[in-house]
Amino acid sequence: MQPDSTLTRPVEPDRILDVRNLKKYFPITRGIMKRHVGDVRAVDDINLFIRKGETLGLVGESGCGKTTAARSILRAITPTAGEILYKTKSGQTVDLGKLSEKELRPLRAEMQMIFQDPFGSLNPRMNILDIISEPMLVNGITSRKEREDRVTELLRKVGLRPEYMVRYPHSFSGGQRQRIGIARALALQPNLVVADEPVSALDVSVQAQVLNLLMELMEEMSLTYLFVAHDLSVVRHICDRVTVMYVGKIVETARTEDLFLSPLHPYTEALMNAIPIADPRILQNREGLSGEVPSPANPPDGCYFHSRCNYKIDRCLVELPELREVYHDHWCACHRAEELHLTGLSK
Amino acid sequence: MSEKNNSVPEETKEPTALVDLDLDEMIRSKSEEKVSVASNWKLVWWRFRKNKLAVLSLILLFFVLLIIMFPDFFANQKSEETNARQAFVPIQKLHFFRDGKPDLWADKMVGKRNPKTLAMEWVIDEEGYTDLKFLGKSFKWKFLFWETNVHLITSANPGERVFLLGSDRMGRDQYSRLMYATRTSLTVGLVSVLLSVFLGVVLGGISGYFGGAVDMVIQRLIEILNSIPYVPIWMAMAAALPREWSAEQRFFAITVILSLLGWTTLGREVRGKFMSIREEDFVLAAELIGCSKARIIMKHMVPTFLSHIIATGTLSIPAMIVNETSLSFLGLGLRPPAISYGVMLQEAQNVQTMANASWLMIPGLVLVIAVLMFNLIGDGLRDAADPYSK
Ligand SMILES: Nc1ncnc2c1ncn2[C@@H]1O[C@H](COP(=O)(O)OP(=O)(O)O)[C@@H](O)[C@H]1O
Ligand code: SF4
Ligand SMILES: [Mg+2]
Repeated sequence: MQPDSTLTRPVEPDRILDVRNLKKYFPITRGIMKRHVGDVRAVDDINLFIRKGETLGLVGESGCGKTTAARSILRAITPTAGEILYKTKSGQTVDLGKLSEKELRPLRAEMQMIFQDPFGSLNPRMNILDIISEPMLVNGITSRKEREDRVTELLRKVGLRPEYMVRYPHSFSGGQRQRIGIARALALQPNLVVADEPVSALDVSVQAQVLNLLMELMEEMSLTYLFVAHDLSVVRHICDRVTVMYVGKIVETARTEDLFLSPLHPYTEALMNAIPIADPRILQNREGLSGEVPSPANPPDGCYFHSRCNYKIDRCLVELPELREVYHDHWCACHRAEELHLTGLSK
Repeated sequence: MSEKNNSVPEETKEPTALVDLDLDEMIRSKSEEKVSVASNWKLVWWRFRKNKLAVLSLILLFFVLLIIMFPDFFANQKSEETNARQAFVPIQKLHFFRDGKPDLWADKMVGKRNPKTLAMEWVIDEEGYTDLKFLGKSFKWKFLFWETNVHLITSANPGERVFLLGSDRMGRDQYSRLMYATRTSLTVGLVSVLLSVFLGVVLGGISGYFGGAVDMVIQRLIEILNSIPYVPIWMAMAAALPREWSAEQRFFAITVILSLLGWTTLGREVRGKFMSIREEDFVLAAELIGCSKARIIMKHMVPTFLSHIIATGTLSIPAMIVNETSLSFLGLGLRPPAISYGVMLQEAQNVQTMANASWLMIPGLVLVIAVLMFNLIGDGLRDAADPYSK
């Protein structure tokens, strides 16, 4: 019985989200009869949690399953298996994975998403007022005046002029649209905000501005973030803890300082080496990532990372390493976690 | 982080999507403010407006709609008014000036029996003229509860008949009949397109939104309908319509038949749109803020392809009109006393002396104009439909 596992491992009181053994498989079918021939294991048995007021980074290359994980957690898509224990504003703990659409709807406003693509995420046929006030409208704030006042306040908060509310998305730049998306996400004071690569589609010059805005809002509104990114540099200054994903699995989770100072997984080290460094004096043996991410439909035997790993041993080719707590609060899925001394990034 | 929120710099150098909108210079030179607050329909209209032929057709459509609503006003004789002695009267040309002064009149026609063939021969009476009146009075007609006898153009002398587009073999006024035919033919076209749009949107929408087994069934149905050869099925169905049915019943039946066969293209299109729009981030965003399914469909999905549907619908009106005309021409569709372009052309076909009464081909010309009009509007709409994609 599923609920028993919940009883044996109670949710720690400060956790707002506790994801256990989450899986999302996309079936691969052939022919008109839709014969099931395999699965894309986009998210394959991951565990993570977020404490209230904390920001958790979820990092990995493109195609590692970050978006799928984020969307499963918000029940934008239905997970194949696993528990998504979420503590609601009213203090109850519910398993989002098992709720029906109808049971889910009243909870929707508590968890919001900031999208990667600033162009696709705003309905081009609605003006900014309608876009930002729609969450209020569908959640029972019927007074137009009240909605307008709140939109005014929200636009100020995200650094846009309130007069802009009569405009349509086509008159805004990518960075401005992302601010609009943030305002919509914050319209109902959410408990949990999932930001799926919120700056990766923006001009480099604008990225920092939007990141700063997200950090300011976090403090001001005491938000809890799940922050998805494909490179570690973005995560470094924002997150309290970081989880690294590779081909649908978590390979390392640690507090941000620990992860950057002493990474335990070779993939984390490789991601760190991929961070561009402005200082030309630090041009040591920085090896970036070579080779391709294996397909989640057909992952290799043994450690999924062995095809690109510089430290692999024979055991890595046959045995899949489990995620285990190597040091306190520092989890890693590598056979050689204890013996390797990987280079991190000092301050 | 000590920075105050309001001081977050607004990045003004970054390009907005305005440049991608593909509006012409005239629009872009409108103040940016105006474009910024322009709704989708406004943008569509601005783009549509660039196409002069389409705008001209739209103006024409406005008048045609008036004819469809008030054919009695535009006509000046009852459609069934006959006179054997006024058969095959040629076109009485309309004039607007007389002796340098504005005056509405038409050529006067006098008929003479050819002593050899005994046929009537009509010639213009250069001495006389047929005086006409703008907004004059003729037969009574009703619109809802409102009764009047005012018509656009009538003969100035009560009882005198004028044939602005000639008369047919039974001495009926072709101009007046053409007004009623326009109503019938275009109504068949418009109503059957509306019905097929409805069917296409509902079935295509269900197919695209829910997918799975429902989608399978609807797609197979579309394939079956598309593989049916049209002419035989029309012949069969037209033959199956009971002979004793009234003109209205036949009219209704023809319309339904046309739309039952005609929704498939639109159904396919709507399904494709639904499937692609379902994947859009803004639809997911709507779901995540707690919108109901109905709201997501009506507020976020349908408006996204509404302009496409209108364009496709408009482009399929001509085919429906031509279908009705062909059916009626072949005697399978509407039959007298109903009047449509097809019925009129079918009657003209009976005339052995087609060469002598060439004006009876005018319904064909009008049909071509109507078809062109809808095509031009549809093309303009299609090009203007989605200002956000390139
Ligand atoms: N709807 C889907 N159907 C099939 N495969 C999918 C679907 N969505 C994502 N995938 C696959 O799942 C994997 C993870 O994708 P995604 O979660 O988007 O990764 P990320 O966000 O880390 O780039 C990819 O291999 C992708 O091709
Ligand atoms: S388990 Fe082996 S292959 Fe995998 S990361 Fe560790 S050393 Fe590399
Ligand atoms: Mg992604």
